Amino acid sequence: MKLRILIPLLFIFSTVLSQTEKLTKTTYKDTSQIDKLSARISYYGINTFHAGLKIGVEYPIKRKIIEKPRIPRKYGLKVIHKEWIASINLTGYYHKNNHTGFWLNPELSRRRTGRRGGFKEFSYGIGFLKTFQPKTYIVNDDGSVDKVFMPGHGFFTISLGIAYGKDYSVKKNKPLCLYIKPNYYLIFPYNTLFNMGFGFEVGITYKFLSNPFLKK
Amino acid sequence: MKYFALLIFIILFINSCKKEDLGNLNDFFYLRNDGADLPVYVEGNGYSKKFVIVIHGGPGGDAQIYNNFSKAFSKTLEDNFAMVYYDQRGSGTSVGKFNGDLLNVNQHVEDLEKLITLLKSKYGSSINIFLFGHSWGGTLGTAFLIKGNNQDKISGWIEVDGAHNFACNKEVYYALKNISLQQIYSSSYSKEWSEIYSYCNKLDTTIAFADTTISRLNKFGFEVEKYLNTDGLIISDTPLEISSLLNHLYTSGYSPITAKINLRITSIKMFNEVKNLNYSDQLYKIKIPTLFVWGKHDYVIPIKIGYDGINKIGSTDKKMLVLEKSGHSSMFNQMKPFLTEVVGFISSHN
Repeated sequence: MKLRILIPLLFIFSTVLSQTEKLTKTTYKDTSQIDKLSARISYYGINTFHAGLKIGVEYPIKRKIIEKPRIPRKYGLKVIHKEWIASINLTGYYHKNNHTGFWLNPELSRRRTGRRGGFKEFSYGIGFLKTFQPKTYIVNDDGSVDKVFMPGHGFFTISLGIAYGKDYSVKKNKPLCLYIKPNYYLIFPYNTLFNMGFGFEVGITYKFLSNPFLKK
Repeated sequence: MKYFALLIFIILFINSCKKEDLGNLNDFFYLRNDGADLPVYVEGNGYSKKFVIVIHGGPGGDAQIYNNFSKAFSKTLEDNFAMVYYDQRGSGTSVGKFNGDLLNVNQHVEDLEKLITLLKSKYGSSINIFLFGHSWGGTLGTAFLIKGNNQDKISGWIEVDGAHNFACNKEVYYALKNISLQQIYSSSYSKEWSEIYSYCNKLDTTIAFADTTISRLNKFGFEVEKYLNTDGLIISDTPLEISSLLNHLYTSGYSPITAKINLRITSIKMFNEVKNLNYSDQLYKIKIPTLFVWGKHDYVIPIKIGYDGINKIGSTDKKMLVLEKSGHSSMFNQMKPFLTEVVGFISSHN
């Protein structure tokens, strides 16, 4: 009699246990698409409205896939992609009544892409900004005035950005991403110490199926 | 390719032929001097041939406070005159190789001299130049005017709550002590006034104040404006427009944090020089038409300094306007009477 009760109980317990085991978090490296190269083009506005254009290429240097149970667990597993992405970007903009800037800004980004393709990304960049000023004059000691040829300055930059976007390759198999990316940047040496600014980026990323620069 | 080059050439040609609208000047350029690039904005009515150079406060402030940040103020002036807003070295959006050793009054005066030469070169030697100095701008303007023949280039001097006597900390002390005693029982900030009064009471006025005391009194001078505003002794007759604020944020090339840093670093670097500056005994050298505008409730540079200064100015054509409900920035507290007086003063002098 005791066995008759114990065996079904054991069966139920082991089934539940095995089910739980199936729904635990699993992480593994994804090397299948590691050689994917993407190109991006975006509107980049200093203070949002001082218009500029940003172009860049990005390359995932480390990528892992995480499977973890959805809540409630009856919905099964969800797959999350986490990547470290290296990118190099060139931005040109015109800041009205201030300067024209060309900004080379390599970035390292941590991106998390959800099961539907929505992604969030934190980017950290170090770069160099070359500005071109409008008319700049030098007044000599004798009172004569000279115009400076191609006036401007060079600055080092540090940037921090948060991007939100949608990766259409996840569900629809289209090699495109759309994103917005507000970011803060710091340029130095500027005046007494440094200067801070805000930029707003709206862009599109095209994912190449394979890296054309890699010969296999 | 041939057509493209032709198109570029036509665009450049049309652009070069574009006539500058003197009635509505909107020029922006830089003056490069001794490693610094100083941004200069010339805006307003160039036909008037009257160019008003705004010398901002600080040291380490920013000229756009008088322009984009408060269009209600600048527009009236720009309708009548060409306004020249420039950021001093170590201030605002000035750039270049920053050299702390060049942050001194003589260098600032040289920058201003070169700016005037540049303006005359650009807009014609027949233009009339007026100086408008607020706070620290009062120090710099005075230093410029008492040097050599500099005032020969200037048609009029407007000093607003200016620090021609930067070493006026004893007057600040007495002014703060009196107003705090008066306000302790009537103000809604009686606790704060008590603190100021007890701080002043502890000071020994028979000896020179320490640097920390000077800084503290200066800080109190700005702080009390908030209390006096609540108590109705200081007003703002023209509220700050949101559009002006947004315009300032949009056009400004630097952040409020940078502005604070510039102000802090530049004022620290110049503190040792300016804390003992007192041009009162040299004001007799100023012979050009002069207008002083002071807020009655200015506790940064108390009104007593204004009265003392106007009495010592050497010009026979001089006037002082006291705005009864204003503090250290009287142009923003009682903008309407301020603008009426300033526009009248500049209009009546050539």
